[in-house]
Amino acid sequence: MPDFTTTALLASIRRRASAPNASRLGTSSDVLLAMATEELWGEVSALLRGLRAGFFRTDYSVALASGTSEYPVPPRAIAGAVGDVLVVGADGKERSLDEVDPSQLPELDSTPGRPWAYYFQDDAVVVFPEPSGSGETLKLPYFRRCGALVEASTGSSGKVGVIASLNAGAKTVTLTAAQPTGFTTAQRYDFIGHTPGFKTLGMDLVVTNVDVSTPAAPVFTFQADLPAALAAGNYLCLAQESPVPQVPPEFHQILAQATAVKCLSGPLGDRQALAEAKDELKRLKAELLPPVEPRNEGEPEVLVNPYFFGGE
Amino acid sequence: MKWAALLAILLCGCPDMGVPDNVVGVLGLWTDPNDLSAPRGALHKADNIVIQRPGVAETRRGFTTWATALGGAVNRLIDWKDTVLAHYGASTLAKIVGGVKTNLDTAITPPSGHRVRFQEMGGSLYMTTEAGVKKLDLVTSSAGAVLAGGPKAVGGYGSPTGSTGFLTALRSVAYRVVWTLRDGNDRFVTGAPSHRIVVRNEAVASSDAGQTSRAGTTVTVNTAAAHGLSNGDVVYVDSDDANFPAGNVTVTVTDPDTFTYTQAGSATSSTVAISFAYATRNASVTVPIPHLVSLKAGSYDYFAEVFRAEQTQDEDGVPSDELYKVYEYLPNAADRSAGSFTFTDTTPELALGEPLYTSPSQEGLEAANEPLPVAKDLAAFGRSMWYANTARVPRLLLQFNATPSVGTVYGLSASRLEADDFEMVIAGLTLTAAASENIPLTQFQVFTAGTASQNIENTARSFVKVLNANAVASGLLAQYVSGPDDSPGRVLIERNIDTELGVVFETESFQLVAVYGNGARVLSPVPPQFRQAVGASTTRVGSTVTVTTSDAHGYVVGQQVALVVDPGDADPNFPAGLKTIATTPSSTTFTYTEAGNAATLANDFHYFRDTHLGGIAETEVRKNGWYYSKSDEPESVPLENAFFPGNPDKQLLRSVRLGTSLFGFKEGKGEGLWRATGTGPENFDVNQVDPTCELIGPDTVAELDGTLFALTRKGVVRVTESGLVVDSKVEPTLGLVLTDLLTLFAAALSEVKSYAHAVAYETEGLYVLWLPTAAGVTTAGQAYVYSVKAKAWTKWTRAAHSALIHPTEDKLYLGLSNGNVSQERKARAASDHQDESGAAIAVDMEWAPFTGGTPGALKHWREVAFQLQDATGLTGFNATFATEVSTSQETQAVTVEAADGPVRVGIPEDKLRSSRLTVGLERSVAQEKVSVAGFTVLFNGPTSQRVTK
Repeated sequence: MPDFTTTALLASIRRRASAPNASRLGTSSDVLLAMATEELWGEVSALLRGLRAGFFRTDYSVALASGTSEYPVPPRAIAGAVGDVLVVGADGKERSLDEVDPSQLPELDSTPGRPWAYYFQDDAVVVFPEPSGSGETLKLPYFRRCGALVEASTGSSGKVGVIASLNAGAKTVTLTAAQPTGFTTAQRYDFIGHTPGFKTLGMDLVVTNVDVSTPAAPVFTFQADLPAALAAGNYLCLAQESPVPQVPPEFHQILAQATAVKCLSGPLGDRQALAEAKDELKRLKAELLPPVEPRNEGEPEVLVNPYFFGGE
Repeated sequence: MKWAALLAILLCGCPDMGVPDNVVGVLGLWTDPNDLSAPRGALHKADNIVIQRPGVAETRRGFTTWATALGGAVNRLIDWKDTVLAHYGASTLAKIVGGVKTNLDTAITPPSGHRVRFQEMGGSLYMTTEAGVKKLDLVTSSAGAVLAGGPKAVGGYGSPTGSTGFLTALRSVAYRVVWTLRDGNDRFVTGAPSHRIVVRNEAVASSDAGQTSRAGTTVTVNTAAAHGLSNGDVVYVDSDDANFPAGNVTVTVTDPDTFTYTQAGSATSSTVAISFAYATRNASVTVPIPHLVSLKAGSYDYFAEVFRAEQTQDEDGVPSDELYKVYEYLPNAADRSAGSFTFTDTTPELALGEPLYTSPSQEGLEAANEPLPVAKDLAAFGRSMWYANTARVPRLLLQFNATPSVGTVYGLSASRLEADDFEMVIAGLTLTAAASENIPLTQFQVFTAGTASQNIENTARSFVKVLNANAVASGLLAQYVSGPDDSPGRVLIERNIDTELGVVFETESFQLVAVYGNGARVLSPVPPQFRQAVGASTTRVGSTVTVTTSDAHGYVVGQQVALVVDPGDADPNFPAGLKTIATTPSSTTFTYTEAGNAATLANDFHYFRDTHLGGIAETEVRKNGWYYSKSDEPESVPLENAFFPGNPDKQLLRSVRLGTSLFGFKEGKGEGLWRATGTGPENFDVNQVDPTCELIGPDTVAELDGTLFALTRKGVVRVTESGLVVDSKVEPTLGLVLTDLLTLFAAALSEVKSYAHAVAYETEGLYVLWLPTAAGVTTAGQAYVYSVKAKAWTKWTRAAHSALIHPTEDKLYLGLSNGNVSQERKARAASDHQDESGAAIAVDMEWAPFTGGTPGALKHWREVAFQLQDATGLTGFNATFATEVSTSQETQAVTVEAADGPVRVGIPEDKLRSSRLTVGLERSVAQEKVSVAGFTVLFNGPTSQRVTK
């Protein structure tokens, strides 16, 4: 299987920018991955979301509690934004809440009951009026932010674990190598798929025990049930981290090239190479976007603004 | 145009042309200046290459095992008479023919702290050893080396003999003996002459007044003692009586006390005593054979020559020292066994032969060929052999001011007496003064019948004779050295170098002490005087010890004396140590205060001695000694043929000839370099030429390209024939490895001094300087190689304990610490480039960082292309890269398709951007020759300007 991890990504960035793995130049792997993460969260995410093809789309649901009107926006929501505010009734029917201006609230009936409106307050959605009963669920569709890129290294000095086996009944996973330093019960964890799609299979999971009786095959016990799709080969990462860019593989080279541009303009300061790298990024975008848009080739073509990224 | 030539021109030759800023040549090791000042082409690492053609680095030639397991580290290789000689192990000299060794001598022990040095002269090979300078005459000799220098003649004595001969009555003649070696090259090596042997045709009989009378024409003589004459003997009448005039007469013997002769005159009796001597006699001379001659005569041709003066003109005359040859003798086995030979000199004066070389009309006695100094270095220059860093045998000049009393005992100790020696030390020879001479009992005769001067001379001569008769046992020899114009009684005792006892002369000494009697009082310098305590009469009462001595002690109250005892006879009640005289009740008793048990001394083996320590003879160590021989006589070195340059405490480490100069390298600050000039002993002169040139490695001096290369405190320098010291200030390329050298000095200076050595490879233009690699090692594990053609340094990472450039084969030979000898491969083919047993030679080059002219700015390196030249057979190599950004070295394997031209190499990712790019080349495959003229770099930059959109 091709290498889709950050190992391949780093190699690609270094090739494109002629960037040594050197902290003195600001081009060490951790720095490059930080730069790549910025490009992933910025340019690449925007590019993909701009395709309106459902990349990163996720639903967040939380039961409405009587007397509680404020519900946090999912922390991984890109830009802290949600796509809609819905309430799913006990009958399973959804209704969309209307957004109101908080300044109008004094003029409205605030008697607790079934919420029909909402407004944003800081990082939370406030439903109105205050719920008075139970059985309804608040549903917040949002675009999920990809995990921050980390090196796809395992073992005690690594950044991630690779699942060797799992036991759904016992809620345990066994890793292929010693657990990375810092992988303790004090952390929250994500499961990341290792095949294209690179889906986040589980988020912010709590580990109750780490059994290191076999140091080269530590066993992590989770509080919650393991995700149904979890399989051997998937990654165990610290929450909000990932050893693979969680975008289609075809976008990895755009990510690498965008990072190379950032690298050449920043740490390396190579004016001549930067110009060439920008041209290459433009060429890649032009070559890659038609094949991925639309995702459903039967759908009508959507016009894409070529100047959505790049600022030119 | 070849790459190397182009690069050489670009880098070195053409200031107007400029150097493309991406071209890097090969200029050799450059470890001293900082990288910013290093030119492109400077190498940080240049292992196992040579740069003989300017700008081209090539794999050095390898070596093949030539001789194995000699039996110890090969300390020195020498070419002598087209044969390779090796000094190996502790003390063995061997020749190696066809890789097979044959030991020549197993007693060639080097002088302490030095290696054996060799010098050929007159067909012989001279070598420095701990026991003295030795020599070999023939490479085919099985007799081993022999101490160089003619044997010094040992004493000798004579007397008149027979009833006729050449020596007139009451006249004297003097003899001296010299020993000469006819060496294997038919050269004659003559030693120092013996002392003068004086023979006088003395009166054999005398008659008292009235005991000589005439009746008719018959004179009857009644002698006071048996006269010993025979009928017909011609006798000289030594008479002051006018009635019995002096003159020769023929005697008729009446009885043992009476004889007659015919003489006209009045009938009368003598009024005075009359003496009678033979009218003429011959002389019998006994010549001791030096021990060395006895030892080596079976293998070497030693012979004695005896020289004689003309007889004195009158009976009171002293024979001159103008001596002529009268006898030559090759001692036979019986003589050698007996230790001497005796011959009768019958030579008439008209038949006297050639003069002795020390005669006043010749070179004089001061030109005597004394035993060669023990030397730690030697060199041939100006038709002379020069001996440096010397030691002369211990010598003690004694003066008998009077005759000792009978019973006096002298001791000659083989080691000097120290102030705190309280044990009996008289372990050497003892000589006892007696009424008559008895050699087996080591008794010398105290003469009393003559005048005071005669008694002193005769007694001293007997002392010398008895001592020399025991020369082998004592290791000493003596000469009676009072000359015709000297006061009598002068005796020179010196260590007998002839004994070849493996003496380390630097620490050699001996001492004369007076054991008993009045021996100390009659000598100058005054030796320590011992007094034997009489056991039964030596007691302690209370805290007073009363000592009775066996003869007059001569002590005074308050004097300190040392009580010494034989450890086997120690008496705990009378412990050894310093005592202070409290009282002197009599001439043979004294007291001192010491608490202890009341007791009587158990035995007689307790001695008291003076605390002064005169009479010591020690080796005359002259660290700055620079002796030179007579012209064309390398083994003839008079004591006066010497210079003593500079501080006497600083060694003259090395003497090396260069053209018309002999250079002497001294140790120590301010001592530096000295230069001897001249064409012979008559005009030799020595001057200091550079006090700052302090030699570090005595064996690193080598002549190359008309100059001497040497490793000094200032690094490697060149010395011109005129004495100009060319150091790195004058010739900067000499100093390009100075940092390496100074670092090594700091870490392992003693190892450098001991194991550094060098050879000059004239045909290759190389000075190869082997050095130890670290403190604690016992050999030289690396070589720094300077090419005078390219003015460039490289380094060989292979060990050599010694080295030789074979002059006829023109090959480099290496002596190894494992006892093997390796020979340079020099077929001028690819097969040259491998070491012993086909081992690969590891070429490892690393250039100084390439900056592209902007060492502070970031560059984007795109490609390196190595420029090969004549690299026939090279199939590949590893290119190495490192930067200041990514300091670990990364390697790129490269395949070589052509022997000439560029070989492009990609730069590893992590090395693509930096300010400085360090490029290297490695190859370690047997029988492949790297030959590279440098490399070029393609790069972008500087690129470090910050860019804004």
